[in-house]
Amino acid sequence: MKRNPYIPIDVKVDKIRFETDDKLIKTFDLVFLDKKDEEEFMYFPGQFAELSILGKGESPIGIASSPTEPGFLRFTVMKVGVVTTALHNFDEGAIMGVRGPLGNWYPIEEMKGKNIVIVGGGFAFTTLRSLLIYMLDKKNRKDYGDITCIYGARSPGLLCYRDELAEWEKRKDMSLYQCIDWKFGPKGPLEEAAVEGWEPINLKEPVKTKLKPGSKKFTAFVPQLVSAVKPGAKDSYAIVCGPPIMIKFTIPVLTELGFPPERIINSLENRMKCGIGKCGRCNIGPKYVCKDGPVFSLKELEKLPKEY
Amino acid sequence: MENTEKKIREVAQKLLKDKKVNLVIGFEKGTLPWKSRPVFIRKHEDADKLVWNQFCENNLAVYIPFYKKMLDKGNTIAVIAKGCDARSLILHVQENVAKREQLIIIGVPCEGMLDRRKIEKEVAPGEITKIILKDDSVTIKTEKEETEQKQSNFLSDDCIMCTHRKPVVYDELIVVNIKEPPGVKRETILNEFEKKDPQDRWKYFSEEVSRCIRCYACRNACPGCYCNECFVDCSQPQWIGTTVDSETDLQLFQIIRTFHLAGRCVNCGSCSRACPMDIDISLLVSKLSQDSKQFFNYETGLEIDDMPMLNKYSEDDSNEGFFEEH
Amino acid sequence: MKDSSKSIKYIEKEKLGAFIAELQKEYVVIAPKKVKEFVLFEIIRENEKPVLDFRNSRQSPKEFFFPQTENIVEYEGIIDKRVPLTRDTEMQKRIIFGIRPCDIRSILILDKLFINEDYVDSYYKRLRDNTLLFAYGCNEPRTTCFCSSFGIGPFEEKGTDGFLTDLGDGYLVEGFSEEAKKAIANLPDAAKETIEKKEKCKKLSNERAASSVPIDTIPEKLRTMFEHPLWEDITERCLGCGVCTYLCPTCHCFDIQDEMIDEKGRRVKNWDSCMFPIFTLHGSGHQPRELRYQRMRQRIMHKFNYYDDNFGIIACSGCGRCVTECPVNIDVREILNKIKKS
Repeated sequence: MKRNPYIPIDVKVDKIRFETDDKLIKTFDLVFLDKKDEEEFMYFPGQFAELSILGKGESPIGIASSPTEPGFLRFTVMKVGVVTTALHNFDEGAIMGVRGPLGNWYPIEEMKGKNIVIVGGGFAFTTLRSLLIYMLDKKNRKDYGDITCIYGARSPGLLCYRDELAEWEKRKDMSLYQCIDWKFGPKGPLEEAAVEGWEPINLKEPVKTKLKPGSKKFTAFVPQLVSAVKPGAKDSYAIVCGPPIMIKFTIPVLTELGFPPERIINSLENRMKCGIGKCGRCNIGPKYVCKDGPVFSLKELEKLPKEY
Repeated sequence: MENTEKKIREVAQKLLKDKKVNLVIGFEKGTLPWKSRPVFIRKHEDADKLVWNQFCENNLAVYIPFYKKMLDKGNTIAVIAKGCDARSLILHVQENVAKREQLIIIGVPCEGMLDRRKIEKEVAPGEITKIILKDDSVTIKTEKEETEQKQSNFLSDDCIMCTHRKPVVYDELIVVNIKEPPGVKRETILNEFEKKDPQDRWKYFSEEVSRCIRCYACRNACPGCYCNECFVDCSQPQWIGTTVDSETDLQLFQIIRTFHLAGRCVNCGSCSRACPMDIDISLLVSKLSQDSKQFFNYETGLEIDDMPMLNKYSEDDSNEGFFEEH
Repeated sequence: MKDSSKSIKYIEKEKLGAFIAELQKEYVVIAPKKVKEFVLFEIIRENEKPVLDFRNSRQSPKEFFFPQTENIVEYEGIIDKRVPLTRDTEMQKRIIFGIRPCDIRSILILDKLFINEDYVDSYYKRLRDNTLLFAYGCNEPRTTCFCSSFGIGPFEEKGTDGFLTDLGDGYLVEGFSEEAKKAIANLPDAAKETIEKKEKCKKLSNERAASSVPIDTIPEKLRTMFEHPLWEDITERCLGCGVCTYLCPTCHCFDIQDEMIDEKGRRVKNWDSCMFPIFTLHGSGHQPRELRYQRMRQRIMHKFNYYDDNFGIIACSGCGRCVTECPVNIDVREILNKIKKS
């Protein structure tokens, strides 16, 4: 008999660490109490789960770990509401619940043989980490072409997974470009580097920037950095995940670069409760973000009403 | 009645034509025999849609907070107002929802509205197909029969207890002679209820409230309920449980809502009328109005320069009923 | 008329009480009861008689499948050690007596959402699997009924286990499913003329229920109407309360909430409404449906376009409850006609 989709699966909080310097984001590694549950929890990069704290509620969070790293589920969570605050107050060893895996995933099959451009902003990098780890896995790396990752946050201390970023920076089989936001003066962003070592991109016309070979860290907004890096659109997929404002300005840049809508992939967020397409609150037109998403191509989104 | 309607249309038309107002809120013919419904007129040629009869039951002041943005831009709204609507509008002015000069109150003396539930009860299980109002009679037609009765038999309870049929504050007054329906004093009805012992009163209240389905129609139909975030919707902190199987939460909702209306309720009866489960909400708010009158000699929305009851303090305020020890 | 696949019985009105008592030996009987001046479906207690001279109940019996508040997980203990307690899934069989055909259709509509190949809502399914539906033909539909718009007549039998028809002195009781046949086996067989009488009732009522809204092209039409001035126009008088959605027999949106009393806690499904702004409000403060008209659009679109897209059926059965109970007379029939004309 199929599992009751409303009942959370028991897990233990195995490891907790601060992810960002503002201490608002923590990463939790969860392990299943029952080995059988772990075997049944088959997931792919891009899916999410409802983190469940009985007595507090549930919160839908993207899975940051990759199926290629078995033994735990990783979630990176910002402290915002009742549930996430309770979670942040947990110590290692706490027992809680997980419902999932929920939703669809990045088109990992369809993207085989293609170049991949990952564009992420802030703490929405979680499922992109999952995807990156998945593709970089020894067994899978050969299935994909060039991998380019462009990732930005407001400041260096707000970038997630900094140890891993440092490792990826050194890898030969992918290119990683990181950026942090411009420093602001009274009249808007200042043209100088926000922090030493974070080279500024041409503020007004980022596309005219000539990237120095070897530079990997920039002062720029993510869409500007995408303009400057100019990833090739031929045989490429772009996976975009970040705050709405970043997505809004990144998509025209990708379109300009020649990415067709069916090869621009987004992951959406909406207020959710059940996660299984029943409770009726996360729909955009006839599609439920929880069940039919959260991953949509721009082509699919163009068919939906702009109500998100 | 027809005469009143004609005058209302003329006034509305002129206000719109002279660009004195951007919007007139009044009533139009509804799709059901027992219902006239709110209508929003922006063009003078549409003023003929306006109707006036004893089914114009909604308190139209409820819409004013929806137009906050429009009012902030300096626009002006005219409202066709019964005594109770006008009092709620004054409340809105006192509470800075709108400036006095932005509200054109077209006062219409009111003979009391008819309660459709009472009419339905009269013909049940027959189905009302048509209602004809003439002078002080009402003819109710069902598929099979027809009955003519006095309108006063079907007056809504809150209208029976009404203390201000004619708008107290207004900009235009539709001058008509209204017959004073057989009013019953609020005290009389409440005293009757208060004669019961506390257990019986509590039993009545809790049975009524146990039917609540938390659709919040009472709150949303109330001109006084316009908080940006209602206490029932607040999640941090959460003041009240969310279920319907907890009696306490249902009671708490009604009690707290009522207290929020202390000195702010005009007893228009909109809450009770809107309730799809026929909960006697009026009784509770009625008591509150009686206390306001008795302890503070205060009635909501009568004087434009006055402050809402709980916003002012006077050394002469009664302490009675305040911290009573039992 | 001689249909061997069903059993046709007759019961005099005065014997209804005894029949209900007989059913109660095996079933929990749910039937219309008078509450104040209106009718609701409730569990019939011993020696209680259902009220069958009603047009329709104020609320549909939806809550017997999708309760307004329903426990889904129970738990206890300190916060970082809690696990779900296992619950007893045994339940006594129920029979709903006197449910109108439009409300039966509504249950069939809800089935598609709660029991489908993606996920099965086991709470809904358990209640559904253990309940027999005895429909009650509408001799006198309400003036606000528009069920015939959806191909449902006042004597529609689809989805029922049995059927009840008021013939004046008594009821014709038909059993379609095996279990329903068993439940009515002890009643006397109906005479030929009573069966004919039912056919007459049916014919008469079908003619009465002619009030209908042409909905055939609506789902398709709505596809291109997301941005349309109509929404603001029909919404201006809306108070934003939940009457339409909470009285609707097909509305199914819900919230999930946790509640603790001392050390005992429960997670519940509660009805929720797309008409409430808080329904879609993000934790960040972002609000995809900020304005009243956007919420009204969602309600209409969900029923008449999205649901049809996803499940091939419109999520309305024409019961007219939203029409009669809306405090400001927002009439969905009128809205549908406007959509049709625009």
